[in-house]
Amino acid sequence: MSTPQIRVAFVDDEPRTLRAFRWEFGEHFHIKTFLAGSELLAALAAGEQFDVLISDQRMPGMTGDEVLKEVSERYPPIRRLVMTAYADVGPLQTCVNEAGIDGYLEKPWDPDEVRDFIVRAHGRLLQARSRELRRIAAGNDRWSAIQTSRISGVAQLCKALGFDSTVKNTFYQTLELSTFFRPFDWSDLLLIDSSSEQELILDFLSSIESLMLLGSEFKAPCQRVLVYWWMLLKECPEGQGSSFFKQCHANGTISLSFDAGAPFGDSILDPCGDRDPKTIRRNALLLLVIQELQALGGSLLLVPDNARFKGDLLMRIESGRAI
Amino acid sequence: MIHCISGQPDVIGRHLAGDDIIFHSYDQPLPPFPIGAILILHEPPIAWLRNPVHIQPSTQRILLVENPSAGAIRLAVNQFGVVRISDLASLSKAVKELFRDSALMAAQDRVEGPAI
Repeated sequence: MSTPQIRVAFVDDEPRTLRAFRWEFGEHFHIKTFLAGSELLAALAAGEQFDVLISDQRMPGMTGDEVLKEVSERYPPIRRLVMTAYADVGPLQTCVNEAGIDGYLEKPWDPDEVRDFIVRAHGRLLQARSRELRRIAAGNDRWSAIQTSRISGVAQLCKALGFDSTVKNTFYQTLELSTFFRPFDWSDLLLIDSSSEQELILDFLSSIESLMLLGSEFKAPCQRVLVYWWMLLKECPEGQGSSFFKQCHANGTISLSFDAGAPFGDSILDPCGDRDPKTIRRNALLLLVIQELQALGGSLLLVPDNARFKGDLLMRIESGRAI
Repeated sequence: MIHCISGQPDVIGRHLAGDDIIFHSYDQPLPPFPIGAILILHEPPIAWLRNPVHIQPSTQRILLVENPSAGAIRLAVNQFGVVRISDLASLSKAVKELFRDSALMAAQDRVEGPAI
């Protein structure tokens, strides 16, 4: 059996054991040995890469379970095995529950068993890599499908309400920008129940209708913009959004600037965004603000502002005429 | 879905009140488990651990023992791929920790097709 491509790190505080391990398995695997867990961690921090880690349990300084746990947290793809001559139940439980080991090897080792465990652990590594790639691909497909469904739902909704297609397009662009910088976990996408997509759009419609009824109390579009805008800021999570709010009148225009990350961090078009009533309401208010601005000849502009923090956006509203 | 091999179903039921549990016996063949299932091995006899039965890779296994021996842990990890060792007092927590992983695995398999 010759599998030199498998990179194995072996940690043991006994130099003779390290030599014996290299001698025994060096021709089968690419072996690198370390006298202490701290040496291994330093090598990993310096960029060395391993597929499988085998650690002795009883060592001065960091014990085996501590090394394995640290590696599982900081370098999770590396598969982990513990090797010990002692029956220390407590550390073994830590190895299983907190370090996610693939196997427990005894000293003195059985060479065939060690080789078998390394190959099996490497097989799990390859499976995990393949699974991760499939997960990302599946997440991409899911993202695309849900996004398409939601965009189509919002388009139908705008049509039903008689909104101009520019409103719909500005809404997409705004929400795309607001979610562009936000990292997400592909796992979240796979857990979304696609059967409730239509329900989300109906909730969105219902929220818009109730807000339009409220806005109908105000006859002038400029009043409605400000009312919807004020409500939108009130809907922001406490302490956010309004803290950056600035208002400026000049040359017959009104310019409203604020931190857009808070109100639009969760968007109705973002499959990973929240779908609670408040988020739906914020999105409904955004659509209405855009709609009223359109009537005023105003514009909505989102500017990524990475100087403050990643994903933060600066929004500016300018109406094209005096209000 | 929680499956449990145990000689004392009532004890497990008390510690996982509210959860649906399907019980099995160490002297009967095991059925195939659904994707994402959690399997609790309650105080398995060492002789049983020495002769591993096939369990689907997607099944997350918990070794439930009050005073585990290193030998039992070794067999449970090496032969059965146990990912948690728990006693009755922390069983509920261990199950909760594994539930999210199981749900994710099931969701992935719905999207990608069955696991390896």
